[in-house]
Amino acid sequence: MDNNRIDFVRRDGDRIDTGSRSASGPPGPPRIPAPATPDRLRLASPWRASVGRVAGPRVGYTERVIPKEKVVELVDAHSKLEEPTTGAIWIRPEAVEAWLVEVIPSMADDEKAEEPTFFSPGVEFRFPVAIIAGNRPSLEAALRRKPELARAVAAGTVMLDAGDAKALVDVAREVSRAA
Amino acid sequence: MADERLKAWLRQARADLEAGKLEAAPECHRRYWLQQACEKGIKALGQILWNGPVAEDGRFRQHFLHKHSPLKQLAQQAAADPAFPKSLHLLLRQLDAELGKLDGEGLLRKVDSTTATTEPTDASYRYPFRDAAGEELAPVDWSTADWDAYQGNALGVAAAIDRFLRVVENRRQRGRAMG
Repeated sequence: MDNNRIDFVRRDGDRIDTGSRSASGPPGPPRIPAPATPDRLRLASPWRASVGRVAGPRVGYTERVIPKEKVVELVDAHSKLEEPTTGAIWIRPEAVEAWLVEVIPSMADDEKAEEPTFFSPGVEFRFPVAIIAGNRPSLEAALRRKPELARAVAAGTVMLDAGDAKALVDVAREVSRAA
Repeated sequence: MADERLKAWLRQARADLEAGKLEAAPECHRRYWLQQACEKGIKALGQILWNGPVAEDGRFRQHFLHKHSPLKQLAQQAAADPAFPKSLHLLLRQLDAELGKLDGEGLLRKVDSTTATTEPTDASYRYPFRDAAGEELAPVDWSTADWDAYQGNALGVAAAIDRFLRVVENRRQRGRAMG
């Protein structure tokens, strides 16, 4: 068994075998096993199933953690766009992707705001991203529909708050308590 | 297969850039190839980032990959159509975030926006148009100063595209090494 191999399911069940990261180089130090996801952060399976992607469990811990400053940079870039993000909460920090819940006031109302959109690593932001985006009413409605998302937001880290993020976290806590 | 296609996009973008530097060609033709190189580079980066739902791959091709000025087109469609796919709307934001970091001067964005519409007064790389004074012009009539004002300084644009293609190619190679 090659402990460096990474397998994950992508896009509606397509299995991607990403092979070994160290196939062509010298053997590195032993990998530290990834920690189990705490229950409070684990998302309920129906929601995860709708996501259609599952992070591989055999990636070394040091490769999985995305530095906070990189996420800050990404959120900062999103806050400077023509249609700026005005609130951002980083959830599931243990995930391979940077999971961000972003308030974008200019977005149209969305009855499926809880559905994440995934991006592969780019040239400046070199990590995968999962974004749950919408205007604030749509995201609040999503939190009320999906208590597991509310729990993740309540436990998340506010990365940007121009008036929306704290209100969203308050709703998430309220839903979490009631659930 | 996907990597081979991406390599082909980047190879053609590089060939367009080299054609854009050929001094034997009239300036309108060089400028057109510079625009083409930029466009293909942006499309290559879009393909790298895109990890949206499989069901929306067709719309990714339709609204992004098969369009001139893909950033301008995406922005216009997202603004005009409230039902425009959120994944493509967010792709535009992610591309903007990447370009904002690596193209501080905004040259690539400026080149992306230089696609003529059906308006006869819109400047065009390829077809006659009417200038602000009402004079009928062929692209070959324009001076270097005219092109500089429209597209940006040729040397600066070529250098920006060269840097851009290099970082996108590096990203492709990193992705392949990890895959």
